Amino acid sequence: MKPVHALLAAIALLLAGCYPPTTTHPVGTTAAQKPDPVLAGTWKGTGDDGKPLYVHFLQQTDGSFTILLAETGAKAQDWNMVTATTAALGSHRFLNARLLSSNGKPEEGAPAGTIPVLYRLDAKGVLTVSLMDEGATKALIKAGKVKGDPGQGDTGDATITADPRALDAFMQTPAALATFKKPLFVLHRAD
Amino acid sequence: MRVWQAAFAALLTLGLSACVSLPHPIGTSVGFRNDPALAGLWYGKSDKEDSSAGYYHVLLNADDTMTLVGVAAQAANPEKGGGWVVLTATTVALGGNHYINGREIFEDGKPKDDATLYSGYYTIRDDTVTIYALDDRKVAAEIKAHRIAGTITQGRFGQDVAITAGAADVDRWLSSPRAPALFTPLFSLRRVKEPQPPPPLH
Repeated sequence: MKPVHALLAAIALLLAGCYPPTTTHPVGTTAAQKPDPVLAGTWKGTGDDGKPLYVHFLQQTDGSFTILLAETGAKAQDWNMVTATTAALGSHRFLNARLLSSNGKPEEGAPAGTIPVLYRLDAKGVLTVSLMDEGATKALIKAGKVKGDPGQGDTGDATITADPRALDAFMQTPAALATFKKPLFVLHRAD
Repeated sequence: MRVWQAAFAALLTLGLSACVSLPHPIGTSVGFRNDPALAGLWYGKSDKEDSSAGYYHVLLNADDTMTLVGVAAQAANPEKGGGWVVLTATTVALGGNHYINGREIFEDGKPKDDATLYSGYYTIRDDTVTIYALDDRKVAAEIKAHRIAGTITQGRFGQDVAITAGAADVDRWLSSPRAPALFTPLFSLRRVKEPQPPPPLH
């Protein structure tokens, strides 16, 4: 378990103080990867801890997004920076995210890979962002459904090491999609 | 620096106040205290540059400093927008006058080595914060009248006014009821309504 900063609870977003599952290859490299314009701009909502926050998706010239997350409210103190690429596999949309800094301090000790994030935009414009559940991902790795390292014990960080083709095939399976259980953020467009 | 960045940074860092320089942040002699009225999210742009439109998060730190995170509103177009800046700031109330000091510490994720100090006067009325910069001509008149110590030199684009007085003298000078008249409006920001947590289930 790697202790991390609190608002990392925001896209690197650490459930229970652990890094969420990571992949050694980004999701979606076998499909056409291009920035998803629907994300660009400013979103507001709440995290899974109930705290209000704003999320800014800033499109960069290299096709990636810089994502700035800022708590809001009278007691807000934390802000985080994340870099991410987007990919679509069938009807499913993913971010491959990497936490860069927390309150201006570079993130140290982060896993080498990227964090797969599933996002959905419904007809009402609600953006739901979810991470893979650690326990469910470990179970799939241990069951041989995907190649990876489940980490040591219950608290080790799970890493999916499947090659890009196997990874993309796995991520579209019902079993993989079911690991994105609990929404991390529920966001509405603010701009 | 691209045009939008210049405008955006100028807006956030009170850039126009650079023609009047101060040797210390305003309030150094009395100590800084965060103004809770500034906390939250603000939106605005300069009158001249649409590309300067941006969101400004004001985060109050426990050590009575503030972090200002400015994000360009034109996030969808990486050529016009997609940038962000971060400042560290302090505030102080002198008499009934509210002042803010800021230094840019990050620009698009890169640390800023040029830690130029920017200071200004501000008011908050009806969810609008207005930032004012010291007016070089009015401050020059104050120096000539020996109400504050400083120097006036001819610069490339007009006169450069530098206040050289000690921190206590500057703070005393800016505590006066007439001090706000030494400033000129720079820009205004509107408070953005905060997202509300969902109502509890019954």
